[in-house]
Amino acid sequence: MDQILQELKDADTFKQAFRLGVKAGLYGPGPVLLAGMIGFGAMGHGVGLSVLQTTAISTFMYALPGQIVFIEMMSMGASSSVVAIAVALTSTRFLTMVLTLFPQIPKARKEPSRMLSVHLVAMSAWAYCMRDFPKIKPEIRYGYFLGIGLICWILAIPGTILGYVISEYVPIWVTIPLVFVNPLFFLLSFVDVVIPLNRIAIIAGGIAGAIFYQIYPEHALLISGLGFGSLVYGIDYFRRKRKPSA
Amino acid sequence: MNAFESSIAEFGWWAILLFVVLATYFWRGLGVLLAGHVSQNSELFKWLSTVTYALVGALTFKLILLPIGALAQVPMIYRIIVCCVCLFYMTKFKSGLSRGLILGSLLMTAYGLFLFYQST
Repeated sequence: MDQILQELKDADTFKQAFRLGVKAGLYGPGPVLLAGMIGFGAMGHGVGLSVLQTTAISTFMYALPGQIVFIEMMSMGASSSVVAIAVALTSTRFLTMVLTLFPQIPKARKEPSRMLSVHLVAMSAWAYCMRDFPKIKPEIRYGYFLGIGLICWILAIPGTILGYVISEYVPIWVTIPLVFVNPLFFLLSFVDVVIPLNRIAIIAGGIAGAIFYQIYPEHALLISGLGFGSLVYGIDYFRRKRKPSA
Repeated sequence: MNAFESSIAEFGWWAILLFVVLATYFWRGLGVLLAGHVSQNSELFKWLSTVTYALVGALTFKLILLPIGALAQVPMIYRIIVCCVCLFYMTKFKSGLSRGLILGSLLMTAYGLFLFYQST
């Protein structure tokens, strides 16, 4: 990784930066993303989707938490509008991610459309670009982002197919760790959440989710996310209002 | 045929997928349009991120505590222990996320092997 960063500092062209981005993607976020997509493929098989459906979800949504919300809620029999609201709420983080990432890339006269390339913004590419952008020349940042983003997106497709196909033929001791990869990944990534309000939201939403899934399975995610998330926010808001100094 | 297959006719399912794909893209596209124009410290952003974290928290707890499919064959107590061990390993030894993931997968494989050989 350090060697790639060193080469990046000397890179001048879009092409060089793109190639280094692909390399960084393969060494950095690629393997974890691949594992997540393999796990998603296995989950898709588990809930009875076809391989085409499962792969289409990964390709066009390309947002693991949203993808899992989608197949989980559909298998619980939630109505399509409730599913859409929950998925849309899960994906709001992309707005913040794009708003922090894209202003760091200066606009060139001729560049690949941002309205298209924004589809490549996911946790994988975002975290690496946020870390490396301050260290590299602004003019080559877009190339670096496209390199990481494109390779990760491309990996998602064979990953999903692989997970789906192997879960059909392998014994239980391979399927169990596969379907466990994504929940464990989400859980472990919570360790890096530093803002106390968001930490409380995770725990409140988690406990509410575990309870409401047993009572209202088809609306549990919305109740816990929108309801309890807003509740935590509301309590914090009024606490801040009362104590302006804090 | 399970509940998933029978409840949704093929075409209906693809229409819903299109809907959620657009819902996901909406935020990404909006980000491009708004980049450089809005502050991320506004109350709206704070609310959005609290809701997102609560949602993903609920999803994660659900997947671990009330799983469907293969994971349901692993006892709840073992699932919780594996999660705690991985969280402890990651925070205590300051190791990266990927190492925690590998540890968790190995522990789950171990239980899977136990189940596999018990049944044969």
